[in-house]
Amino acid sequence: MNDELWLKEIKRQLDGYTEPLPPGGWEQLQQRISPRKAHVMHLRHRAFWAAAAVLVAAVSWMGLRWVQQEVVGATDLSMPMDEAMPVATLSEPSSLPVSTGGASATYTVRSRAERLAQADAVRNEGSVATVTVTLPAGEEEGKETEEPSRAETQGGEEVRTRPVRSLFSSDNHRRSATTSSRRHGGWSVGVEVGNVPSATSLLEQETGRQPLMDDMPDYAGRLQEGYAADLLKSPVPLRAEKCVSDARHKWPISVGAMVRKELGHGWAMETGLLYTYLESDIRYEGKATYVTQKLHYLGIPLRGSWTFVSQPRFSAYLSAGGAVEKCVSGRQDGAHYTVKPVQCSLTGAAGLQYHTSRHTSLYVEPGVAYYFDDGSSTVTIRKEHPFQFRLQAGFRLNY
Amino acid sequence: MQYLCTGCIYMVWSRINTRRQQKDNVVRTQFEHMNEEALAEGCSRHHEAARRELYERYGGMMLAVCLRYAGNRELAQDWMHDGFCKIFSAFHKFEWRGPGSLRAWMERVMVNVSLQHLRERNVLDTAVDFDEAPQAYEEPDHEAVQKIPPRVLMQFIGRLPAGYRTVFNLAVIEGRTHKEIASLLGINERSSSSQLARAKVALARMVQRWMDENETGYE
Repeated sequence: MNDELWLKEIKRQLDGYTEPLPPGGWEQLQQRISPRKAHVMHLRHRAFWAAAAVLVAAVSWMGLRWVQQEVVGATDLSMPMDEAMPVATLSEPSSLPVSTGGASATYTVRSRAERLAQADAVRNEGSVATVTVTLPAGEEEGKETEEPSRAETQGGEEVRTRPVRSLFSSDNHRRSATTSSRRHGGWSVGVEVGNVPSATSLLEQETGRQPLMDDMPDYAGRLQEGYAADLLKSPVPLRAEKCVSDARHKWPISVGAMVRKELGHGWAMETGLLYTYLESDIRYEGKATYVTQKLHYLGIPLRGSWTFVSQPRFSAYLSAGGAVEKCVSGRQDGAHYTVKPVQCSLTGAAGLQYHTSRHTSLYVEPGVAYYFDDGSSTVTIRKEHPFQFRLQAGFRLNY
Repeated sequence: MQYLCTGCIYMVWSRINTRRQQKDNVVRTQFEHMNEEALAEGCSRHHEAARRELYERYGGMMLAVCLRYAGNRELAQDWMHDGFCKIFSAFHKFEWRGPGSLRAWMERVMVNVSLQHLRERNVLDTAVDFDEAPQAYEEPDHEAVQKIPPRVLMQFIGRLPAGYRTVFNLAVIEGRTHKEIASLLGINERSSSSQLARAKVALARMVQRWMDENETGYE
């Protein structure tokens, strides 16, 4: 074959000639050359999604279970809220005569079985007048508040029991909608509206009966023991301050402005300013009417989150954090009222987010929150239900 | 307190992130300055950074090889990626035999991949009348061809029909004989020779037209 010079020139010029590589070419090639890795990653993503679903279900289940077992109300509402409750340990039941309010009454510390028998046969009690302290409960869903049922004993003391507040009582729910947090890198600003459903016992709904001490075995017993022991210490009537006998809590509402900073590798931090409104109707001991209590809290939340699954349309993340809130304003029965101590809380949640577009997304975030006792005597829904299951769902703007 | 915690966490995370990026950069830098042999060694051990360096160092040349056969950039990119997939999967078969051996091996793989795709498209034995080109033609001056940019020459080759282009590449660029070409393409030697002649004629006319339009001054 004759090699024309011009053809040789063409060959020489094209020897080593390079074309510009396509943008993103390596990334495209990488996905092809590592199908095994992609398969592993695909399996890993599926595992993460399964873990995310299990986590969401587990958090929801734990919240519901915890709620069912939770004692409704930290203390007997007939006692001052800010008094420490001494716990007396008694090896055997004993009857201890005490006096209170000018009337004689014997407070009996009994074992669990005896308390059960006592509760069933309270009307038939003999010469001993017994105060059976049951744990206060809330209202049933959709029902009017019932007056505490009373059964008089021979000693004239009352046995008070209260219906248990249902888990999803309409009085104890608040809605949530959350907007605005950044999806990709850098900073984001958003507005958040939060909602925390209360945690109450489902016992009454399940069994149709009011909870007795046998259903909450140890707590009520310790309560009774401590009460009796305290009475031993001081014959002075305990009712030296205003005591809350009943409380109805309305839907809390939270609104906040959040700032989110992406830290990379799926991590992000979020903080901002949170406003919470708590309203309750409270009836004090000896009063027949309810007073309205309205509290306005401002707080600073701080949350960290980790996105462990990130797909074009879906992402799953875990978040944890807390908040410090302070009551900045309040009213009770028309008069100025405030809570001095700060309210601290811890939160944890697992979230699923659906990206509707590049800048918008919908999310659902079930989780739990625990509100520490602020040490005040103010009765709020957080005081009665410190550990709460929460479900947040909302809308985010990302930029 | 919260801001202090946030700041501490952010500092720790930034430090971890920076260290990770530095580690990635160190690994990449290692391969950037490696010679052909070391790079081949890294690729044979499935080092991600070595593979990426190989792609970025030779990808442009391999794309040009595929473009000469495909005549179309999109097809060429797909064929190039196919070629790299075969290269990475068959690196255990490669034996380094001196400078340039890696590139030569990669180009052979790319040519084979291109030919395979052309066979699948069944365009290799298509004879197309190219403007009724006469058998005889005026050979362009090789000095004039020097003035033509390589990308323009690539365009000229890309305009050839698939059969002519393939034979031209194998015969002129790869230096194959008609017998070898016939064996590779599944055609007879006469068809190979005929298609090469037609390709030369067409190419010569394009070169001449370009020289006339650009007046390179060789006159």
